[in-house]
Amino acid sequence: MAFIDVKKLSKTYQMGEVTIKAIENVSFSIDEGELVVILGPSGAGKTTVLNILGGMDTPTSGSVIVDGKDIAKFNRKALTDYRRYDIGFVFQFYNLVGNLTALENVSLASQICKHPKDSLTTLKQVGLGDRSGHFPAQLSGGEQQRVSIARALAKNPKILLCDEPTGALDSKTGRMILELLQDTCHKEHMTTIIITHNAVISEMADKVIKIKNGKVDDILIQKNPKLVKDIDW
Amino acid sequence: MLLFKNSFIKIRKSLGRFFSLIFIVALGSAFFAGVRETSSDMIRTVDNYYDEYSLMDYRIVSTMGLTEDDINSLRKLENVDKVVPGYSFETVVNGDAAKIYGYLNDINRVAILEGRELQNENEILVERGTYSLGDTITLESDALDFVKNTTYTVVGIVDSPMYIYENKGISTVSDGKLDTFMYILPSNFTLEYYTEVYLTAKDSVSKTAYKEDYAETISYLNNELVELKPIRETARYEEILAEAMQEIYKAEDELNKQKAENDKKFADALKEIQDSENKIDQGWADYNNGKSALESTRVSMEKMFQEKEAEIANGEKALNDSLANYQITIDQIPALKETLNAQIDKLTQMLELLDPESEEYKTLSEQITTLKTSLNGLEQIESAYATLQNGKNELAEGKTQWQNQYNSSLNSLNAAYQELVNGEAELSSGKASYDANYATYQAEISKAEQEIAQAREDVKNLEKPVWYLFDREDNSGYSTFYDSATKVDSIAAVFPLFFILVAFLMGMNTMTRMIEEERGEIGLFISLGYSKSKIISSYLFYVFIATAIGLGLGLTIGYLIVPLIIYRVYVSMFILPDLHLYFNVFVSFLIALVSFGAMGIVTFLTVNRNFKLMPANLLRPEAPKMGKKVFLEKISFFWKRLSFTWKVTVRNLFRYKKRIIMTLIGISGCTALLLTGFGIQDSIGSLMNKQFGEIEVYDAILFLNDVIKEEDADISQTLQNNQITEYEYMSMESFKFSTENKNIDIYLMAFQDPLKIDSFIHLKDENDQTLSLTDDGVIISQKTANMLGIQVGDTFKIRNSDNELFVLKVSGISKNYVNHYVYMTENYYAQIFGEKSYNAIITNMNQDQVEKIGNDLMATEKFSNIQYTTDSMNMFQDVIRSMNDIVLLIIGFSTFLAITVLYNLTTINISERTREIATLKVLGFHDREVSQYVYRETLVLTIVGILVGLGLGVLLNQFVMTVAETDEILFVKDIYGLSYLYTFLIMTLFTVFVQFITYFILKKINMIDSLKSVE
Repeated sequence: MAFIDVKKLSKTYQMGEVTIKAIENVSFSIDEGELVVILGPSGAGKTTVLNILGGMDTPTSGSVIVDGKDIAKFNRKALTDYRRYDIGFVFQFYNLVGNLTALENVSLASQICKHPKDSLTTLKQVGLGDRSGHFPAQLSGGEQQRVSIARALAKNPKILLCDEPTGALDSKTGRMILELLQDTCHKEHMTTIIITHNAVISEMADKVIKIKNGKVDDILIQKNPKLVKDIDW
Repeated sequence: MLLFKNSFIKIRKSLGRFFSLIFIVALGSAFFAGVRETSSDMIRTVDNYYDEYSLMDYRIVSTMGLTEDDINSLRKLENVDKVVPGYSFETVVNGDAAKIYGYLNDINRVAILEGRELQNENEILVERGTYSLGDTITLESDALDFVKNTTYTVVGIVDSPMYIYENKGISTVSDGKLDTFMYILPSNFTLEYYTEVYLTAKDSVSKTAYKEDYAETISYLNNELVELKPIRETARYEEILAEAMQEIYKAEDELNKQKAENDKKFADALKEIQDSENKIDQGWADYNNGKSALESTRVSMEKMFQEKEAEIANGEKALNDSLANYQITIDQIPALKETLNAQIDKLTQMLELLDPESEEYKTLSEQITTLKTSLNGLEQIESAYATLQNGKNELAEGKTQWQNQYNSSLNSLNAAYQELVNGEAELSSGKASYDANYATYQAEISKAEQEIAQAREDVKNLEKPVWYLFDREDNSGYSTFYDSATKVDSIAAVFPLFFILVAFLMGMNTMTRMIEEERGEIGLFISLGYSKSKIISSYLFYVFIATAIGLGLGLTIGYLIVPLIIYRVYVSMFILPDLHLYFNVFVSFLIALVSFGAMGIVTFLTVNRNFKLMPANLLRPEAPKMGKKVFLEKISFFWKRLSFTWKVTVRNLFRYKKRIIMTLIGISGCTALLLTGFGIQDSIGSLMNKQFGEIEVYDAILFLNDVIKEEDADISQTLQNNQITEYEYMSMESFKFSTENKNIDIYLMAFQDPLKIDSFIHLKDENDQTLSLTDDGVIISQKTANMLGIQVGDTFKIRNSDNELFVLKVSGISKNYVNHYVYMTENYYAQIFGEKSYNAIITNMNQDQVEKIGNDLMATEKFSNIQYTTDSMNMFQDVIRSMNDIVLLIIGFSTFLAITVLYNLTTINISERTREIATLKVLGFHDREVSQYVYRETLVLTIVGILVGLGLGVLLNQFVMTVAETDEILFVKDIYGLSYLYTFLIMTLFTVFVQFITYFILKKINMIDSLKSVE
């Protein structure tokens, strides 16, 4: 059984009298340590999938088995715990707490975990050991995103979820981030899911799940994914 | 117009914010308008009341009454409107000092609450409270000096604008405090002059009492009155002098007339006496003359009788001799005569027969002649005998006659004698009574002369009459009301400003936040090409709707409800008509201006600030504020010890200085207001406990019917019979002392035995050391000393109701909170007032039987009145109860404000940090942890705010209590520990309550939405 097993996942939003189907019957599975790219155009429903996978949202129907547990049936508290212990998030806009230094932003996450990694070590791991005392406003976008990744990693999560992690970055910086993610995934055997609309990024993935109009369009398994540095931008 | 539609949609979407804006504006304006307007409403209400019932502007009382001339000259004044003379006097009615007025229709009219106006001279109007319609009121008989009747029937219960305060001023009867007032028809009065005259100044009715233009208006009349006063005093003096001199002259004339009349009477009487004396003397002379005349008559008569008797004796002898010649007795004569006659006849017949020439004839003739001679002799004897017999008879008769005459003369002499003796007795008694009368008369005359002399002396020493001018300020109700009403004003000056400041700070804060939140939208509109003014006006529209609703709500509450709540307090202390509510257009306009202005300006500035940025920037969220290390981090000793979350909290706390300041101002402001509210309650509450629990510990003061010079064994026995063992004779009198612009009542208490006072009144100085009374000075109340600015060793003056001044030396200043007192020993009293005097007894009674003992004591008719401490306490408790209303108002408003402020601050805090909070949630923070992350800051701020607020509250309370203090009250400005605790707990409770609400707001924050790129 796969590490993550998504079956017939649907999410509908009721907006007044209109019912919007964000995703419909989405099914896929992800193995532990896999780097997965969920690819799709804007509005295809990929973020909904991520939200559900990340425990930020609940599906209308279907099941999401993560490490043997169906998180679709989790209540609020259980979902929070799930996010707390099992998930690391990386956002497009980093979402760092401006009033905390880089190191503190990492600690903010790690201090609530059961088996966190050392914050400073993690920060060094993402190459920001010398900037640990800086505030987000003093860091560049790429640096901020690296802090964000460090924050996610320090939690020592089961899954690393990245929502358009390079969306707000220039391509060079974006590549550095993607490299970092790929490295981490490989070195730490960290199950990493990256959501993007950028097809190029999918070349680095072990598995590419294409989503279109709320449905899985295609699932592509790449036996030999390219290293980020080898990808042609 | 889409923008405005957008505004409406915004309102619907952000009801919480919209309502908090409304509430803030409403609370601020309600409190400001309400508290500010109340005193104006109150003053306008009483001004109407005064005008409606024609309260006088001036009252003139003269020591010698007022005459028609006085009245007429007052009428001639230029600035006078009404001049109404009237009568009044003070007497005791059922133990109460009562002022009885002649009711005047033109001035100082009364509001009839029940019953009707006066119609005849047996009717009386009384104030509310004590009597009911139909009750009979009996005045003491000394009232007859002033009025015809002493018995009246109550026909009306009235309120008077002259007596709107429980304290009606001082009285010359009973315990020296005026208890009640009554009205009867002026025709009841029997006085020759008016006791007073009431005046109104021209145009004063159109002016609002207490205000400056009123003072100015009456000042014109005042100037005239001050000018007229000495003139009329002199005139009246001269009039009285003239009257008195007239009287004296009249008395003198009368005396002289009387003297003249009486002198003549006495002279006549004397003459009569002398006449009588003369008559009696004459009588005696006559009597003596008569007596001697009678005697001499008697002697001559007796001599005559003796002569006659001798004559008769001679005659008898001659007769007897003749008889002896004839040898016959007298008895034989007739027979002899017949014999002779017969012989003669026989011889004569024989002769006729004889020739006449014959010798025989001759012889016979001769014989006949001889016979005839014998007969003749016989006849002579017989006639001599008859003559003798006649003489004898005559003598006897004469003797008898004489004797009779003598006797009668003697009788009448004796009678005359008696008469004279009687006359003499009568005369001497007459003389005695004359002497006595004359002496009395002389005494009377000299007395009358003396009296006249005294009267002349009196006239020489005649004091000039004095006019006393009283204006409304001299009426304790009038001035106390103003003091109290302006107390609201002074509270009004402090509280609402504070309040409105906090409120508007919050309002601005809200608006700033709102616009910051919507910067993206503003950017959108700008990029869509909407003009700046349109965008600004759409926000102004939003703000102004909230402000307008808030103002409407606030002003309604402020003008309609707040004054009524505050007025309730005054109605319990004063006798007042219903409050007239006014809408103060000016103040409302001002409040509206400030509200709209403040809200408008802050909106404009914030929106405008955003215009300076390019639309693209606006479309992006505001760059997070640069994080900064706080100074605390430099204290590594401290910083190291903080847990991570506390470090975050500390860092966050210092992140937004504006928010810290706003929060601190808001929370500390509310805390200060709350604490002040409780503080006022404490001050007033502790006042009663301290005054009646720690100072005035006696149970009652008994006022004696009569003022006595020394302790009365009879009265003491009465007390002992009623189980009163703790008592002390004393004098309690009412005086006034003057500060710069006020006359204030002060009560004098003089005690016989200074050592016993402590059972009744604890005299303690500010250090709680017991003070003792000495014979060389007085102890005065702290407040008195404060107001006069005097210290131990200084002197001060008190004035009695006759305006006599007495100088007292201060030997101690004692704690006292209610009223002004001056305590002294009777010895000192005697030094000041000439002699000891007692009019009251201070006592402690068996608490369970106070009423029974009181009744028993009053039944002895030795006491005129009993003043119970519990009565004072109850009265005070009423005041406290009503003051609690104001306090509750303050607490209520502060509570609302506190909740609004806390809610506002927290929601702003949350709204500013939605992203951060969402991030925390995504990171897997539990709801509780997220809340704590936010609360911890609020909690710290709240606690600091509360602590600062408690400090501020102490100051504010001090200030408010100082301002709110009346002349008679010294507030204890302590706040109880419990009040700090309550304030702290209430604020904490609100914080917790608001946190409880925000917990749900936090819970509802949607991670997904919040984390999207643009807000």
